[in-house]
Amino acid sequence: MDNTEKKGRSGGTVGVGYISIMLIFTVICLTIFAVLSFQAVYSSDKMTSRSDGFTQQYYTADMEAKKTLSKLDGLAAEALDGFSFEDGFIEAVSGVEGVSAARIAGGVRVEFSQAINERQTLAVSVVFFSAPSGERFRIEKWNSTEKEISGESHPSVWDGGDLV
Amino acid sequence: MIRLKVNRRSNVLLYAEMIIALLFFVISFAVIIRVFASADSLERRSRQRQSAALCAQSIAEAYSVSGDVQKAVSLALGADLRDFTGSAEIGLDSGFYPADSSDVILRLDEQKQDTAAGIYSELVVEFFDNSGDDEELIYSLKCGAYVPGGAAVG
Repeated sequence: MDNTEKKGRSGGTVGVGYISIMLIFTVICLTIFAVLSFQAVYSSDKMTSRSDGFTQQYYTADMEAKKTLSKLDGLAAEALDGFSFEDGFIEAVSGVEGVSAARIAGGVRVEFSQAINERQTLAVSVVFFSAPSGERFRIEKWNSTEKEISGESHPSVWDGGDLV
Repeated sequence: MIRLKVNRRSNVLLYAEMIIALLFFVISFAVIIRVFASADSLERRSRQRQSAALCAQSIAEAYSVSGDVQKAVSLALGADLRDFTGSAEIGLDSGFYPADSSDVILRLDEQKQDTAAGIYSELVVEFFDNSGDDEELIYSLKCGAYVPGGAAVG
């Protein structure tokens, strides 16, 4: 076998199968990249949807709380005409569902809460005074709080009691 | 003669493999491109909704403090709404800035309710995608404000 014959056999063409292997590798890589990018975008979109949903829930609760506040302010305005503002207002507030009122020095503290979702509520605390419109109330608390989690959701932890 | 025959057969096999490989590549590439394209469109829509939600939240927050739509829009977007009479439409560009070419349309609708001691009002903030043939709702937020005679309540 001479040199020219050796060159002709080994260095001439690409062998059958190499193209397929390279191509399958390329397609697998591209598929992995495509799936990963789609998954990243999809999870980000899901997160955005949840965040947007929460914002809508919060503002709906905020709107309802303001509606209640406007109703309470109306009752306070009516109570101003009575003999005692505090007594008249507390009596009027007792008719509003989900609202509690307590007399404090100089006015009446009213507390109520509005559900935002299953986990959170908007807790509101307002103090009403015997004063003209615009100065009739002062908001002390207007924030979202976590609802109390029931005992069932906590896993019971073994404290070693039975063994002893 | 025999070597020539073997080489020709090998070339035919190689060409056949190349054609099959090319076909496979074209089909799989079409599928992969579709996945990339849908990921891109989903990402664009998600980003647009995120921007709309941020803008709507800014308007809602300013509105619930002031109870004034003009002031709220001016604070959130820097847009001038002098002739506001209950509802308005503002054209925004893709970056959510007021512009003549409106890729996004902001619609505001206010309902006022006169109570015994003040004014309770509700504002609906809606963003529509105007880049296509039909308007498509991107994000919508409803918020409220109470104005007890003087300033609004936050």
